[in-house]
Amino acid sequence: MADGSLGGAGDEDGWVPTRAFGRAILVVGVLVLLAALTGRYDLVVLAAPFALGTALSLRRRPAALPAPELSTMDARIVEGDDFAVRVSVANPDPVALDLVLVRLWLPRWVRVRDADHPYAAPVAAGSVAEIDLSGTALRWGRHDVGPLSLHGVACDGLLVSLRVECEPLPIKAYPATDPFRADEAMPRAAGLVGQHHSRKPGEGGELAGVREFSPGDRLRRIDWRVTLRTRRVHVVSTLSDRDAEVVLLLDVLHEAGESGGTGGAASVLDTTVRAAAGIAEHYLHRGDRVAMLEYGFRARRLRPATGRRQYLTVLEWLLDAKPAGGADQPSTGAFGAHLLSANALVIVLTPLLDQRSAAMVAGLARSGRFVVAVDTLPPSLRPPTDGAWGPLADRVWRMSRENVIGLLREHGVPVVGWAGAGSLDHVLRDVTRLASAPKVGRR
Amino acid sequence: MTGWLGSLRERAARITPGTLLVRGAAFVFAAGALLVAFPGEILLWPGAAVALVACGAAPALAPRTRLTTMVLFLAVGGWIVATTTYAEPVTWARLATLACLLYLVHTTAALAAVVPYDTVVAPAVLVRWLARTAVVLALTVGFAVASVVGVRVVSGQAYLVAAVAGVLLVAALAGLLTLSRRS
Repeated sequence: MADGSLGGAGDEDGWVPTRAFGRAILVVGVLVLLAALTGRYDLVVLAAPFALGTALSLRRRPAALPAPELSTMDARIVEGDDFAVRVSVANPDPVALDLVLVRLWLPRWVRVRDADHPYAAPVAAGSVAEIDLSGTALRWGRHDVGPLSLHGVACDGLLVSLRVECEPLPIKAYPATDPFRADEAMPRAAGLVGQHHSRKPGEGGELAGVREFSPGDRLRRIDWRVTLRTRRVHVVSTLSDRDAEVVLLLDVLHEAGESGGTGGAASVLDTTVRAAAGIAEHYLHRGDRVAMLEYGFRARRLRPATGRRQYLTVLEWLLDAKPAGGADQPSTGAFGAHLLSANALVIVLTPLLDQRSAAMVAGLARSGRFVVAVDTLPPSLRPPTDGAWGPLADRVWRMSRENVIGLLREHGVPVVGWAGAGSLDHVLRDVTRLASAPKVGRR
Repeated sequence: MTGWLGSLRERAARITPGTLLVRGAAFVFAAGALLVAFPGEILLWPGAAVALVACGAAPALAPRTRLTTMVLFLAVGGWIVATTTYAEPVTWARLATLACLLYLVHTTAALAAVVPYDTVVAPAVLVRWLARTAVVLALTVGFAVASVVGVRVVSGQAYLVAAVAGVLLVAALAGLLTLSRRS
């Protein structure tokens, strides 16, 4: 941005002369020389403002560089939300700066109003200039706003500072949770306390019916109205309340589709992350334990826990979800059914684009886990079908994928497309029914 | 060609009012300086005034290049031709106007050079710049009047006035530059 230095003089303190400085000296020198040679006083008058202006400008010159800083009050937001960024430029020098030229570099998924323009603002001596900008995070993830580069201009544009950079400002944009609700009971509970009304009688709050008293029943359960009417002691029976563990398994082997950010098209990873956030929010709100697991090269894992703290941890964990790369897969030790509780409901969010994903889901089902596969492939996704064989290849690929889904269903894994609220009710009912049915085990 | 035009249109759309004002001022001052400096007879030539105004656009379009310096020396050359070849009189008003316009070209080009064309410029920047320039212009007018009057007082010994004033000017500038280097 600077209009060129004049050869390094004076840059030991970070300030260099501009071309305007050289021009002023040149004009004064030439005009005064001509005046002296020809005896024309008018040329001295023409040179006078250049000499006076330069002298007045350089009366006091800055010695310290301006110090920029980026800050925000909204370091944690939800994608699509607005946030404010404050650019502060401190001038520690006793000499005021004519202006500071600030340019902010933005990541792909962050929009800041007018931030694609540089800003020029004056900074008084020993003060801080502040520029407030407002922006929007267009997609979930960790975004670095910046870096910020800055040039100071002093002495009426005769001196310009070397470029000063400021570290980027990290912004966390949590995924906007897809609305999710599941009314169905959990297939198998892990304990005797919790939020779920099980299908088995026990100490709970949900009324199951009235039956005759039997040894072991508590006296406070006696229904006196029925007892008086029937002349036999009856008790109110209830269903037991159970808690459950839900494992959300994210298949990040592949990314597909073009993400359009909030309000735009969703890629596989967008659907996966937003659905996972919605499901986790739902079950954690009901008091269940939720664990997270990633099927990819890194095989990241979040231990099961309950409560709002776990919800925030899940959101944080989801920020680091990224495609693992096609050829990589987790080692057998790093990923497997041994990581999952035997009673856990495993919800696998997968686009089923890879045979390894289908094999992983089938393997979990074979190991006796209750598995539900949620298809995260965007319905609008169309593979490139250029060329004569394109449409045919597309059909073959789709038939092959339908075949994989059919095979999974034969293994007892329901596969359902993600549709937000209530999309899992139907399959959860099936899984619960399967769980309560007698099993034939191999010996 | 289409790509070049598209790029030009895109750049034009990004120009901000502040930078447009600065560059517009640089153009007006440069054109004004050339028109004031050159003799009236040359300005009456067909196309001469238009050519000079076109030259005045150089500091506005390319403030970071040497074109600004060339325009300044073009104006000085025109002034010398006007006062020697065409024997136009040196009046204090014309001399002061030309000196002020030349400095305005220089300082607005300096500002335009450090502010890219798409910069959002705070109004305070322009106000402060204008205030500092006004001080220099006031001193320039005073110096011009004093010089013209001084030459008349010493009854035509312009050579002496020019030499003394020039030496004093250069000495003052050199002294201030030295001081600023030490501070």
